[in-house]
Amino acid sequence: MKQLFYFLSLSLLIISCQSGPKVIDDLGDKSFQLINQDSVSVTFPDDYQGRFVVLGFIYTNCPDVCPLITQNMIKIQKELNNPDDIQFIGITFDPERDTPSVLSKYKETFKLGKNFDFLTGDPAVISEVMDSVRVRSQVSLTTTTDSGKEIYFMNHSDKIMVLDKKSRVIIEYGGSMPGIPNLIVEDFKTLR
Amino acid sequence: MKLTFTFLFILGLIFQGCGKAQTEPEPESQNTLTGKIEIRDGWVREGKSGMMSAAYFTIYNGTTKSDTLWSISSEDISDDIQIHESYKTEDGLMGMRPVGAVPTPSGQSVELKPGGIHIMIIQPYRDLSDGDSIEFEFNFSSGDTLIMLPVQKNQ
Repeated sequence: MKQLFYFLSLSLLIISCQSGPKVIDDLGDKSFQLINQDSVSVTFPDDYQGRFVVLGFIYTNCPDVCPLITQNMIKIQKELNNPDDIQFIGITFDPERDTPSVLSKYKETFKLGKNFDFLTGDPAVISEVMDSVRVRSQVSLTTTTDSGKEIYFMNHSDKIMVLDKKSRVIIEYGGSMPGIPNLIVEDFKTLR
Repeated sequence: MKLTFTFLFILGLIFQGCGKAQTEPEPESQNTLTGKIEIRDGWVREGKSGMMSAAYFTIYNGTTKSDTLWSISSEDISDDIQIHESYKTEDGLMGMRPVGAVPTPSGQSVELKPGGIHIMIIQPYRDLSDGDSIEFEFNFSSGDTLIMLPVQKNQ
């Protein structure tokens, strides 16, 4: 009886050690045709397989929360010393307005380097990408400027997630909160 | 026994009182009246022309009367500057809604900060670069005042 107890305990220990982080969403068999800020076609997530991906969703007409999400991703990249094995990606909620040239300008504003891409694409494809990771957005508020131009804003999910080298989402946090970079940097200590 | 207990109880109270006096200095009173409205710790988010930016600051009302910030403008950078608030919707999304006015009670501070109430600068005419200073007109109930805020880089 005692031997059986030890055997079962050891088995559970081995299983728990082998299981690794829980897979939240598996994008390994998904493939989305997108385009980056330099107008280069990208197949997501295929083109990034073999690297970890820190993924956030933003839109550039968002003046407050989306810059916080972007800044949190930048903090993670800096804290990890700009690692080559981690790709940072911001996908827009708003492909109608966030063209590659707009995303290029946004990237320039934050002075970001080569391992940081912003992706846009056909609205239907962007919608599929968002669905695949349970990200939502909706037009919420429209304002007209003094010059008569109509501008809309969006309600949206607030997330930063980490994909492993097989394109599986294994970590997901609130994107704009101040403590998130430290949590993800800590997570990477056990992931890599 | 009863006397000893009472003695120890009083001694404890004395030590507790002394400890507080030594380790917790009185904070500067929030209600110090300076006789004016002050804009403290203000900054503008670095941004590109035609895109979006935001400004943040703390309003301290050092007067004896409550006041209200109704609007902000800046001919220098945009024809459309609005007061907005980021908030979490009932279904868990992040949203943004206009704020008609910001009440500033007498003797109190109101903070406009990232993720909360903020000044939205819609499609600035020009790039807002780290080190620039932007002049804003703050429209309070008590009158208008011009304030310069520095542009800071995204960190």
